[in-house]
Amino acid sequence: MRKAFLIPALLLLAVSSAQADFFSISLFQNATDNLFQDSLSEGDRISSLIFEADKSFSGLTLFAQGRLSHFSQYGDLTNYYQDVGLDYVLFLGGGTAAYFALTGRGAFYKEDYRDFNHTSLKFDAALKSYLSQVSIFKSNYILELKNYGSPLFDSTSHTLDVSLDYFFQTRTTVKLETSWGAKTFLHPFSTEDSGSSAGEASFQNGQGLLKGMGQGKGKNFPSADDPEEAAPGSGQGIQYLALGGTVAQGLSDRIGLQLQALRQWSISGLNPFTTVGDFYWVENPSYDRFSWEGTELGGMLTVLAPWSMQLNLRYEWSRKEFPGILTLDPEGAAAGIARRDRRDRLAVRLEKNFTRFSIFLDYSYLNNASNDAVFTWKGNFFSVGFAWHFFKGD
Amino acid sequence: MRRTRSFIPALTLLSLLCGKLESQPNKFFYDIKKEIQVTGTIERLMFERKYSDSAPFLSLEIEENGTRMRYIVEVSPAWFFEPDLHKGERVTIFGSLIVRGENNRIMARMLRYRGRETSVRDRNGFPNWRRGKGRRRSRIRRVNDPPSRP
Repeated sequence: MRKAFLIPALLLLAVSSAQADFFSISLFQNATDNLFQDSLSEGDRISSLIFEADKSFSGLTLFAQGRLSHFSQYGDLTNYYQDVGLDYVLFLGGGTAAYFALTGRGAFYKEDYRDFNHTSLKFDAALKSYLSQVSIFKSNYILELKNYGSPLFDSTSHTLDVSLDYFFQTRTTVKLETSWGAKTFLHPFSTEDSGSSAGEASFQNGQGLLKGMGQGKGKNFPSADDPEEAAPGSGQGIQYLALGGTVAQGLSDRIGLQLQALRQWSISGLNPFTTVGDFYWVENPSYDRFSWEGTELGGMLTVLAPWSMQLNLRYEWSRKEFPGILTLDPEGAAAGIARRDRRDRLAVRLEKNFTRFSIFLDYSYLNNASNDAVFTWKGNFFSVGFAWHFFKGD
Repeated sequence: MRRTRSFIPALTLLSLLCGKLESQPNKFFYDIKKEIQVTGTIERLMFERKYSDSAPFLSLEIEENGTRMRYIVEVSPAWFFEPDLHKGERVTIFGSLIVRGENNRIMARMLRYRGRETSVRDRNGFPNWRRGKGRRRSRIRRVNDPPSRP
């Protein structure tokens, strides 16, 4: 597996860098004592190699990013992601510009997690406009199509974010934001699910989440016992609406303080899984912006420390419910109570940028309390990174 | 031993790439001997078409603290999308003074604001910016964020 990914990755690296206007290589070493973010607290170390390249021509920019992540203890989670895309900026005059991007992605996992393999196509359109010298309007629309190794996760989604901010003479910025999203699961139940490799995994090592997802049982959801409703190909959608705000205060050019609040409602539909899981450094398709409703609060202090090091201190609190997701008993069966999580997160990030490279240090502590004992957990997450940049013409 | 054997070719390839990229001549003028630092308040944001074959530049008119001298600071075209600067914000500019006199102009190399420091050019004046949303820069900053952040 390692050779199968490393050789094409190095070839792509060589071709990209030879033609690129910009090229970057990043190395990250991560460690956690709770990889699957559950009550079993299993740790791992993850090494990541990331490369990026872009080339501009006639106003368009062609970009590519590859990311290889190797897991030390749970090697089956080792994966490779490749993005390739085009983007374009269109200046409309009067302090207004639009941005468009089309990105294709391929994600590849080892055999036991082949259900997470996917290809996707994403269209991104953004608009930014200065309504005045002190007020900015922004909007961003994303359409994404995803095709997974397990058809249970196949989906199309739309998201629209709109924000308006105003800067006061006290150097306070107030921003109001609203967001809407709609996701359609293209195959929420499939007769192939019982034969999925993920169905064979035990619950004890976190792979049981995939087994639970494959059962496809839940409120307003087709069941294997009802052949009429179990026909593959039936879609199920889930929509959310969110309102939020940010207050940012510049204390000097070296210190900034920011407070955020967000309230999100699930306005239609349910998660089509029996459980949702959020792994560290792994994109679990059951858990994303569409899977929850609730409240998020946060504060961040940004400091430009001595030697031009940037220090971020962040605290976040959230309370989330997962529509259609019930708590599970120790055997993994639904216990009939809607799952509810409360999470605290404390994070510290230190970054130092040089002309040709950057260094990062990141630490997060999380405490997740849930009415489902499996998802009551604590975890520490460390990351050290080094990014090297090259520019054509250097 | 197996890790070393696979790592050496990768390092060799990387060093060859470095040599190729760094050997190309620089074509941008930024005079480090004329570099100055200006701390002040943004009085105006402008979008100027500097060169016929490029997108409009984001430029800032800065009034320096104390002296009240005004400078036009050329930032970058693609920097428009990130971050969100407003009139009245306090910034510190590091850049090359390219025009001196009644209409002082600075080619910015680095900006410091709200606890952040962002480089838009290297010391040779070569631009760091890429893509409309500052995508490359923001990607590097967020590259430490895994696909699923804790």
